[in-house]
Amino acid sequence: MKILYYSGCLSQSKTTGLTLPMQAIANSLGIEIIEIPSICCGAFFTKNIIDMYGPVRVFLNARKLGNEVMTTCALCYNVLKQTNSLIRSDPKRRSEISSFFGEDYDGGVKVYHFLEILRDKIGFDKLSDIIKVDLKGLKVAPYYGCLLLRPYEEIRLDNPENPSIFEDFLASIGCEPVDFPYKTECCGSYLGAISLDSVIEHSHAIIRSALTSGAEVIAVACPLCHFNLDQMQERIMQKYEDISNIPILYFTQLLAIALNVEEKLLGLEQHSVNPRPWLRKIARIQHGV
Amino acid sequence: MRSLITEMARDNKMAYRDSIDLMKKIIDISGQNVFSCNLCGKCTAGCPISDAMDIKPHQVVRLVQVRPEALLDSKAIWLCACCLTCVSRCPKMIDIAKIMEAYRTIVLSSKREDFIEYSPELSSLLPIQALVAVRSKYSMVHLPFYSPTVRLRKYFTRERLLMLMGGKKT
Repeated sequence: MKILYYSGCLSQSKTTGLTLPMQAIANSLGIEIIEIPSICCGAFFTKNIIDMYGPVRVFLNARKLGNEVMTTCALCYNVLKQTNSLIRSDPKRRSEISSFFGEDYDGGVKVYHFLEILRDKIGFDKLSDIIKVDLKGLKVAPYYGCLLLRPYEEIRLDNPENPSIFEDFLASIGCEPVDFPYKTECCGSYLGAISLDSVIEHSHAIIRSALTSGAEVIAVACPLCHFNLDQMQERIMQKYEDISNIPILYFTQLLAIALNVEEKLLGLEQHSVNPRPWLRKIARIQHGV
Repeated sequence: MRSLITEMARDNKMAYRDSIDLMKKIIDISGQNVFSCNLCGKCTAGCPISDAMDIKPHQVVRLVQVRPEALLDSKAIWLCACCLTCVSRCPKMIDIAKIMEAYRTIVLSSKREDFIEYSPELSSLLPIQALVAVRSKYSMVHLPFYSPTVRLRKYFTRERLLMLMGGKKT
């Protein structure tokens, strides 16, 4: 299977854990990924024409190579899908954009999230046959955040209030998904720029909820969720004393661990909470010590 | 209904006609039918930021109906994180985030300056995605009439230019 892959600005920024293991994962799954030229997607969907420059340019680049684009980042996924649906439903905006770029774009390039590819094109039951490392009994809390699910009319990945795609994915790679009430709550995302306290408060609620549900690690799909839960954890613990350190991993890192990808491709250096003790626990289970 | 709006508008200095114009503008930009709201309050109950807001999401929808100008200087429109929990829980399918965005567009275009200033400490702390998103949300660079020279003129004052050129020090 051949698919276009849009990594966004992640591949050039500090948080590479989401995209770094992708090539190795694609090799083990037997997918051929073709990376399209990276340009920022804008990171926040607005109806303003200048903000739509990024996503439309991505689509125009992608259209030359194929008509299906896959991304791992929840932000890019959200922005690209909303742009597509706006262009399809608003002929006035479409003509403005085509006169701006000198090329007509009809909203025809399909956007997939990597989880969607795993669910619909590969299949979770087939994925459980491919995995090499058994992660049996490891309790992982799936944290969706808001960008992966909402707005439902445009995204249509899963139920916006009670989704199950992340749990199914974790179960297929052998982990034990933990159900916790804060899995679709917002962590505050980029609100840290104007109100750091509210980000700390919400991230604390999410981490505490996951810990009391018995999770050993939280899995995320969004670079901003990762930043708020992982890099801010030190500040959260300064303010609140009822939580302990919990590693935050991207779902691609978990998949890479299950597929036995070598450790230097996991991008663990950027984590502020060291996940290596947890990884050693997996190794111990593997060797039956 | 009509008399209520007139009364409210008279109290708040803003002329009745302006108030109606603003309401029409908000409805036009956001494309939401605010009159279908039945004030159940599910949006406020679900909103993660509502405790920090001065005007709660369900009050925002009501205020657009009766006193739209009250929101122009509120904190709520800037604190909305666009997580869209309110949208997915609304039984009447009102997109409150779009109403907030309409207000932000109107305020930014009338003030003609950015809402926040980036501090160097913040820029080094936050990831690049957050900074780009903040730029699209709180800055007016993307609005058509904005000219970058306004910002440049603000930064390169006469003193700073002289200093940069190594000229005379005062």
